[in-house]
Amino acid sequence: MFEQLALGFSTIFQPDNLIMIFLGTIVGYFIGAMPGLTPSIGIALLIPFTFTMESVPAMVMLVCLYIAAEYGGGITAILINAPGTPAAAATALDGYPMAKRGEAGKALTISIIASGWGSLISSILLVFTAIPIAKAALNFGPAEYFALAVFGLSLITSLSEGSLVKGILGMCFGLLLITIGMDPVNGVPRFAFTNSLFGGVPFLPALIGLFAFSEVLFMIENADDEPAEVQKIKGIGIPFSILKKMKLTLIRGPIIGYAVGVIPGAGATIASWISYNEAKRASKEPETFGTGNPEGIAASESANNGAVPGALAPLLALGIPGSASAAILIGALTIQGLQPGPLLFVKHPEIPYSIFAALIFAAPMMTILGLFGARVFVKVTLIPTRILAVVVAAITVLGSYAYSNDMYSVWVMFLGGVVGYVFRKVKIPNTPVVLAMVLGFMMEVNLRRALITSGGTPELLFSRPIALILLIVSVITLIVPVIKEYKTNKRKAVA
Amino acid sequence: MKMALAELISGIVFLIIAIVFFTMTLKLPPPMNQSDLGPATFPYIIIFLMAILACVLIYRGVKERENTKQPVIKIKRQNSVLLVILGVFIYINLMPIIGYYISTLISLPVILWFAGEKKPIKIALLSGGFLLFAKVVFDMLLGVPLP
Amino acid sequence: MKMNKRLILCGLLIISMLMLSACGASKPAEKVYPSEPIKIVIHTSAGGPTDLMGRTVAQIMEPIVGVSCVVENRPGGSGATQMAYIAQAAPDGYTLGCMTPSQLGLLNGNLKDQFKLTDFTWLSLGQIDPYIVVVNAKSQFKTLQELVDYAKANPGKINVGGYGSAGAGHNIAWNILADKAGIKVNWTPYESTGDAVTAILGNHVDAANSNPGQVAQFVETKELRVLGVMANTRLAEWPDVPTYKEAGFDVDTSWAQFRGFYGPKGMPEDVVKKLNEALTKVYATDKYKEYLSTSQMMPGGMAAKEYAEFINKQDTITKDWYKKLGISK
Repeated sequence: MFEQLALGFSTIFQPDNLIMIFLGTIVGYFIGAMPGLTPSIGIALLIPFTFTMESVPAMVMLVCLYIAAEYGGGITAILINAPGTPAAAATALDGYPMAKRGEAGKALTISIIASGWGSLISSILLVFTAIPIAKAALNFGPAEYFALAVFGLSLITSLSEGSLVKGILGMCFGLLLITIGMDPVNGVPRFAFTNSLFGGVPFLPALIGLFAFSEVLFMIENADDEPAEVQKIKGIGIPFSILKKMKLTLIRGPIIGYAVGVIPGAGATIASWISYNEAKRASKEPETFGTGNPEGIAASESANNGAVPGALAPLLALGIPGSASAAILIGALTIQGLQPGPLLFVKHPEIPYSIFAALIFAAPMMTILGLFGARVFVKVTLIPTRILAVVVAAITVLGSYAYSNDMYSVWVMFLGGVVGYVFRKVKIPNTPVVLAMVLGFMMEVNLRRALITSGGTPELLFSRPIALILLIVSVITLIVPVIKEYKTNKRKAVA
Repeated sequence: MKMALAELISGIVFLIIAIVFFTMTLKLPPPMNQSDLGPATFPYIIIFLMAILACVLIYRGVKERENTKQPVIKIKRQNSVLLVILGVFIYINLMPIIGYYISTLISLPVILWFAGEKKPIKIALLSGGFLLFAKVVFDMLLGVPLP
Repeated sequence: MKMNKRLILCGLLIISMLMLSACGASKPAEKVYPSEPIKIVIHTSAGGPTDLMGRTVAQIMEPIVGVSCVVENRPGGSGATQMAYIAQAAPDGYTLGCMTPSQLGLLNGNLKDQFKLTDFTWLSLGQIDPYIVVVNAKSQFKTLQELVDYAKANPGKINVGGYGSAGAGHNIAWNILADKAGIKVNWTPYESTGDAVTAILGNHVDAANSNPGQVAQFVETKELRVLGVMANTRLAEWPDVPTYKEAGFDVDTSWAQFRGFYGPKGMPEDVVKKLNEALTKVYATDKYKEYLSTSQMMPGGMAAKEYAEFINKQDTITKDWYKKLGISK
């Protein structure tokens, strides 16, 4: 294995491969930072260029693009509350408040270090465990997916700031939105008033609307305020003292990311929410999460970047995509005349090993580029609010159009933005809406699948250990905050 | 607007959404075999939960109505916000009719004006720059076909 | 200086002559198809199997037709975006679309009121991706007959996974077999054929309806077993796998996952003929054959007339099953 890994490193250090790694990373940053362009869209946009390339540089470029894009999403999430990728939504929770305080530089630095660190740890995990863990992921059946979705949704009790009633209402709203479209089992349209609703409500445009476009309207409201003074990045800019305080989060994040990434269908988005919530739960001051705690950024970014090598495990070991982006990478491999699958390691070991080497090498390079980039990106916060607001609005329109090349996505974005604005005004948090949209489909379809395969009895859900553990943990996650709130209320009442 | 009134209204809106979706679920076909839940069950659960919570909001809104210490919802620069929403709405409507570039060329300066930017040179530079960015990056480099 | 001037003059002369000759050559060519680049529009983003076919064909066709062939991806609405684009394109043979059963599905569903079969010119069938039934290697079922016998003895006990809800291509394919065999199973829908393969690898379903290319490697590593192929002949790569008919179920095999080409309605006959000739040449090249065999597909090779009939037949089957399954009235 080490021999082949060494071979992989010597392959990627050839000049043309190095250029491809560099190019992939740069393009990935941009794709990620642009709301509307996800890593998977970015990979698809670049595939035509790989048609005439050799297979190793082609794959290395696309993989670097993939991982850099997961980081890039955090940049706009922090600067303008517009998560460039769905997985960066959790980054915005603490990143944007920090930027508003003038600490954009610090937030960006933390996010790039957490991202680079997450990719590195996760890539090393990938090298050693790709084959066994991909096989283990096959055990994830309908019952486990359902339990994972329930667990994910149970997080809203701790993520919905303020009123629990409003948080769950937001969740219901998101879940209802996601049931619009074709029924996944019967194939009949549900709640589709018009033809375009047959395909359902696309998640990413809705997310851009709820987060970014609603923020545009808030920016307009505050356009007359003086922007916060921007703190300069000092020295090389790495705030070691802060990083030291969050070392547990930095260990937990990449592992959560890798593990969730490996499971086909679950990915960076779910991983970042789980990691964010675990960091908040373990923290001594959970109430600071959501108000600009750098640990929240680190938790989210280390996990969503950790999920990328995770998603590559089933792809390289079995030819099964762990995420939408991985599915497109399979297409890229096929274009090269390579058959992704269990035989890839045997027939073309140079592909997986040069991908491993590229991932390990890209992590520090990405970090250095990002640290330089942070100094430039910070300037965004110097733009007067009213101008920034309009530019962001124009970008949300352009980005949601580019998402699927039709006006329908733009309308979803626009309506999502107006709804999100009203929700935020009446203090209904947007996070549960987003979380419900990520998990709703997975929850329903796997519950139904589990019931179909077990003949209509819910026995399957409780007879499988992983599913059972996840369900128990979700019940605990749901109940503990409720009891806590009850207790504090009681104490207040006594006092 | 007082928070209690806002909660009362949003409770009612959620209740209406729940009722509308409920009437639509009635038209959905039954499950294809007896072990499937069918298309309607999952929405039923959500709608039920939503309706209950909407009632809680309405109840809270009514109860707290007279409370004077409650927070008040204000929209600063109300006209600007509404005009920007309207501007983007018109912009999106124009896009498929007159194409992306022309509609952006018309709408972007107008929205900037609505947002409170009154310097013509700045407006022109920004609009031009953004169009150039869209053309170079999306159209030429990435090959996204703009309408 | 003088030298330079003379050189420039010479150069100008050569260029102007070249331009003249180019004009001279292009004038009569104006009427001869093809003289402009041909655009092939794909309804998925780059990297999918349809995109792969489009790009392979474009690459091989370029030297054959003598003009450049460009592939353009217009994803959206599971094919609706591309269909709308093709429908409004000029019927001059310079804008073609790749098509799959997705477009036919749209014609019977989403876009029922917008487009009809006759709104398009059906050009050529490029390949057929037959449906197969596959089980985990550890499964007790060694043949299709055993699976059917078990399903008959235990109605509603067997879980079959596959891409799509009721009425999707894979589901109809399974229903055609189940109808013939007289069995009733639980159809478990997945979001993609790959997801269904993952489920059968993890033993979460008893059998899966899939395509050869999706499972070939797992058959090679002896993790999956193919019970039957829904085609008239056995596949060259798997000489031991029987067709449904050979396995005892004589079903109509015209239902298949296929990929072909289409254009807007009203394309002139000579253009259609020329395109068909070019595509037939493409299908006959070694390169195309090699692509088919590495991706485990069967050659299509149907020209316009035959293809239009084929499309009509697919459309009828779709309509029939939509009715039987209660999706449309």
